[in-house]
Parts: sequence; C-alpha cells; structure tokens
Amino acid sequence: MDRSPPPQDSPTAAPDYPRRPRWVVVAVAIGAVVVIGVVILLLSGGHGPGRHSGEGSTSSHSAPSHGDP
Amino acid sequence: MTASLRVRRLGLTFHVLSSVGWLGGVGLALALAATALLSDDESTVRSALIALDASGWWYLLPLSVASLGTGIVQSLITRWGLLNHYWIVAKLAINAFAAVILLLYMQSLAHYASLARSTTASVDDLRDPSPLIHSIGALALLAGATALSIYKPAGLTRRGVRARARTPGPTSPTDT
Repeated sequence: MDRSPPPQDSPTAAPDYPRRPRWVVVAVAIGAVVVIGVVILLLSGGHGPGRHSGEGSTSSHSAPSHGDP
Repeated sequence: MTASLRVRRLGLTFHVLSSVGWLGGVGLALALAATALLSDDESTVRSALIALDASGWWYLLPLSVASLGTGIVQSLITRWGLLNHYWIVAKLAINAFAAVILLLYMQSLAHYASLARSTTASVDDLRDPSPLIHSIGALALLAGATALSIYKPAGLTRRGVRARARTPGPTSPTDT
C-alpha cells in the first residue's frame, strides 16, 4: 500500500501557500496581547472615567445646562 | 471588481483626506489632553476638557468612520482586495480597533467635560492622565497604519494566493 504524492500540476492540487512573513507573526502576537489586555481591563471594571484621577464617585455629576442660573 | 481610474483616484483622495484628518485630529487631542493635565490655569484646564469632548464627537469620530469606510471601499474597487494582502488586513484591524476604542472612550470624554462644567469639581479632580495616554496610543496606532500604507510590506494571505492563482497578474497592483 504505497502512497504516492499528489501530482503537483494537477488542477485539483491545493495551491502552495507561502509561509507567513515574520512581520505578520510579530504583529499578530502584539495585537493579540493588546486586545486581550483591553478586554480584561474592560471586563474587570478597572478602567473607565475617573479611574485615574481618584474621583470614583463623580459619575453622579450632571452637567448644568447652559440655561441654568 | 475594479472601478475606473477616475473613480479609484477619487476614492483614494477621500481615503487620504479622512485618514490624514483623523491623524491630525488625534494630534490636536493630544495637545488638548496635555494642556488639561499640565496647565496651571483652572479655566484653561476646564476649556481644554470641554474642547476635547467636542472635538471627539464632531471631528474624531466622524473621521474615524470615514477613514474606515473609504479604506474598505478603496480596497474593494481596486485590484488590492480587502483580504488578499496582509498589510491591508493589518490596516483594517488597526483602523477598526482604533475606531471602536474611540467610540468607547467617548463616554470618558463626556465624563471629563461634565466635570469641567461642574463648579463643585476642583482642578485637581480634573487632572487625569487618561486622555493623554489614550491620545498617545491612538497616535501610535495611526502612525503604524500610515507606515503600512507607504511601505506596503509583501505577503499574500491564503485568500490572496488563491485569487492570484485564478487570475495571475502583477505582484504589485498600482496604488490607485
């Protein structure tokens, strides 16, 4: 039972895909880290308005409208 | 589907205008964020935060959508294709990511503008490095997308390889 490789010039042969360029591999790795980091920050609730200023309870502030005295 | 040269150039003009405009807007946002963080004058800090919110809604967000939309259209009406080259896929991912983050961050900008209008918030409450950090991140992303457009690093996706096998043509389509 010998297995011969598919003929290279056969019309049904899969195209010969080149390897991914190195810059693509690096970019995908960096992108995955960034996206996962953003998702974790958003889901953990540790990111949002006022988190950096220490003003955590300011979301209840309502902006006075321009017509207010 | 490849459009005529006139249409492709018109599309490219809109794409470059919106992308460069977005980049410039992020530069302006960076300047406003730095002013809000570093200025000693309270009214200047408040004005910068209000201007940051307004520029987000009226300039940054529309241009980010325009840049993304014109980029997709431009890739589809030229021989480049949307998913055939890695550098175009990378630009699409960068633009989409930056636009989504900007949309999410508009809530924060509205919060800072609300604080800036509030008479009860002190100037120390208004100082926050977050807008500056996000502006620097956006600038880095858009600079990367611009570099990709100029260098066009080689590399076909699997879809691109199959498309090339079906219709062999020049390795580098014209810019338009």
